Amino acid sequence: MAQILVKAIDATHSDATKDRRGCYKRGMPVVVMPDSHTWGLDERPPKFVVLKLPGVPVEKVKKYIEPEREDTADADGRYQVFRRRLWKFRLDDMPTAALRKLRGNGELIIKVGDYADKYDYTWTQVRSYLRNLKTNTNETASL
Amino acid sequence: MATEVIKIVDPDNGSGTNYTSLSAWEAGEQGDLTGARDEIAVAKCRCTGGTADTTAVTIDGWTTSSTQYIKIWTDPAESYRHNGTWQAGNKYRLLTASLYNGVITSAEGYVVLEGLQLNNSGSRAEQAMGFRNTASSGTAELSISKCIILGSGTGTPTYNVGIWLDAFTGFTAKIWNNIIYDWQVGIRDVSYTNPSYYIYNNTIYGCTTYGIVFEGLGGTTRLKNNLCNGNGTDYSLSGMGGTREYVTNLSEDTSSPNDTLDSKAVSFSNEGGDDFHLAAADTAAKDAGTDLSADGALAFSDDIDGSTRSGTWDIGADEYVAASSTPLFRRRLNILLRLCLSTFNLIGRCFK
Repeated sequence: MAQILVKAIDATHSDATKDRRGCYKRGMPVVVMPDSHTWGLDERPPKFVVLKLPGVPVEKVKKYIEPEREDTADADGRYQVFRRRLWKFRLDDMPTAALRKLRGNGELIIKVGDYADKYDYTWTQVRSYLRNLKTNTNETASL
Repeated sequence: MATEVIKIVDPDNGSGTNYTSLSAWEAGEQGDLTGARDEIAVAKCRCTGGTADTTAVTIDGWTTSSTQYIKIWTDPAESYRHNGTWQAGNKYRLLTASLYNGVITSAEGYVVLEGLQLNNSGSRAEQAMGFRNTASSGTAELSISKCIILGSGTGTPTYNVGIWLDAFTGFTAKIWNNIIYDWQVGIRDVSYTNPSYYIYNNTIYGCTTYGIVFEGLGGTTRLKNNLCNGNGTDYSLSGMGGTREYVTNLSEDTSSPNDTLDSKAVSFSNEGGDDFHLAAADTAAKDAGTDLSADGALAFSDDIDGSTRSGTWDIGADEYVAASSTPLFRRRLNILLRLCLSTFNLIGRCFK
């Protein structure tokens, strides 16, 4: 039972390394919460949008809030953060109707599995807009 | 002068909540505080319905300065701060299973943390930490006070540290009135650089390898009134250069840099129950510290739960206050007396 809070505007930093490693960019997932979660006053447009995945366990989508890490460990055995997030929704490439909805109420309902209630898109449709920034490929996994 | 911009963080989304996790606050507010914003970015943390904040927080991508900084705290004027022991219920707490990082990890220069509870249940074998500093250049000042930092993971520990300071020349850390327990190491820096450390009145307990480790540092290191008990070795301060000042630090073993406070076992209120307030019967830490209210680098005069330190200070995060003299007790007594008086007046009027 998951909802993903997604950053809707870029943060920027004048230091290029810090910008890549630290700043959330438009489309990066920030936190994952259960279906029942209600969001705060600032967790909506223009700063954020929410992708709702009714019936999907939070644990299944937690991987989308992982950072992209360096390929090799440092002297202490740690894989340092290379980029703030490994995954990013290509919000600007989504259909116009989806963008309009996100600009409006700030959320999309995404059907996964046998979810039978009202929805805007299916996971199969949406996942093709979810890009792995390390491999530069779109998500193909099911939920 | 920078403006304080206060945002409410409450996992229960109570009235007026801006963000339902500290992580979302960090994402929503990150930016340049020194430019047009000219701001102190404040996260005031609440817990109106008893739900813990469970997403680890990384603070990065900001621009800060000594007057335009990040402050994350629980306001003691509200009811969401712990009382000096780890508390669930309506007390704000960050509870995560973070590996190779802290519950809070900060790459930023100027950060203040006050009155938080951090618990990392991540595997001790995979470098689970409470707080980790990763800022690595420029100038920086980190303040951590009145926090409870608890390690609750399992496994053979590797870099399992309560407060990890990856320091550098130009970095200052002020760490006071914290209780840090059940880690491999309580506070650690082995960076061989020249930072400035002011580590005052912390209680560090039950850390399997070390309580406090500072090794090979230059710069300035001042340890005062720290209480280490029940750790593998309480203090490891080998190879230290620069300016060092060790004042009334207590150990249960013989590792205190202040020999007169070696081999002191402290009596806590409820050691088995992780209540590290000083017991009434304690004779080791009570009235054995140094008054730091006029300290040149870090002056303060209260303890982890806001009690005023007076007379000869106690060592550690808690200043023992006899129950009968606590403000709360006095307030309750006052209310009771007023109630009694009102009742007697009422009875008196009835019989007139």
